[in-house]
Amino acid sequence: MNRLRDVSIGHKLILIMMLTSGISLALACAAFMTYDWVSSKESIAQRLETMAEIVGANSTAALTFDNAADAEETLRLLRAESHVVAGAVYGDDRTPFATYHRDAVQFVPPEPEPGGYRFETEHLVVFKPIILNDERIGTVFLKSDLEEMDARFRRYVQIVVAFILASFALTFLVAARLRSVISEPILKLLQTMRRVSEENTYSVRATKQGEDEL
Amino acid sequence: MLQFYQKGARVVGRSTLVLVAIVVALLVLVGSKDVGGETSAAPSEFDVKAAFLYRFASFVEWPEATVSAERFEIGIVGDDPFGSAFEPFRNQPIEGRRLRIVHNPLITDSGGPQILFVSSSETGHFAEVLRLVADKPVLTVSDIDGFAARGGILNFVLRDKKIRFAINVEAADRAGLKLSSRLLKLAEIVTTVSVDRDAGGGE
Repeated sequence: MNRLRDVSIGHKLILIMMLTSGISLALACAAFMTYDWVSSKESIAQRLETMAEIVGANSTAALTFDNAADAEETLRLLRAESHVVAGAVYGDDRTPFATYHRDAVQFVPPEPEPGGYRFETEHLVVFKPIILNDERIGTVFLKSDLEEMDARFRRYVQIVVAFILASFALTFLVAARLRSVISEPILKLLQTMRRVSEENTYSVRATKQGEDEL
Repeated sequence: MLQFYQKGARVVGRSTLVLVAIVVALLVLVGSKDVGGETSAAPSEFDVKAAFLYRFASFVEWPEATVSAERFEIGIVGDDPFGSAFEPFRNQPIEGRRLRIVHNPLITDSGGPQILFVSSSETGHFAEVLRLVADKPVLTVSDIDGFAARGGILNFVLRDKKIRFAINVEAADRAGLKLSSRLLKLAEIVTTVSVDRDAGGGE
């Protein structure tokens, strides 16, 4: 803090103004980014759940009449959504009936869970029951990567950093102009005081700049 | 007698442990029979066909006027090959209605079974049946070869050891039935092959 004391008044003022505007901007950005993170997580999960339900509804006949090829065809439509990494349809015996993988590799789908979604470190996993006639005849499993959210977050950080830099620059300009409002009267007063003590004259008058304390 | 542990004043003797071991062994034997879920016997051909017949109801729409509130009928013409295959579905309502199996049902202008299965015993003389129900809202099903091509709606066929089906969409239209696209995409689509031409030509 001593260093700060030694800085000139003008610079102190600039620093203070930049600091306050920087902090408020950073806080506001943090608040918005957090809200966006949470709500985009929710909307991604909801979208994947909707996809799972659509896949399920279109697989009811394939499951009912034991046509795995048709169920696989339905799953393959997921190719259109590039973020979906893998998918599977299970029968009511909870064993995999049809599977899909974005990279066209064979994979072992996990044990089916009752329902809902779950975020893992790099993926979003969704399970949705397949219902026909009020009866659960199977389950849909979908797994998507979080690349969309990550990309969005990266873009946000870029925008925020750019904005903070821009606001610093602007604040600096404004501050540079405005500091003289404060610092000039003080410096003039100092000057006058010095002259008084140097020349030992009391006839020197300080000129009033405004109606504030000075 | 050996004392294994004491819990308060109780003492477990060796003979008791032997008894417990026998009971556990019996339980394991009985339990292991059920491992793997339901009955160990693979479903027979007609178990599968019965299940399919029952489930077609979820993918077919009958005209509202003909929907009876109480019963959903599956009629069987000819010899009954199903035996007890419909047992698992006895108490499961289809579309909210109780299942009823009728042998050699009556087909009237106003009613009849929603699904009519023509058994293979009728091979060679099912044309009459088809003529009778052609424009009534009855889903005609059979495993007779060429049934759908002769105007039946649904034909069981065997492909790669799996039971699949062929559907004659024109026949379904004529009967006033709407088939779900999900059912149609699983089926081989068949058109009526007219054997005897009638005066007005085909339609």
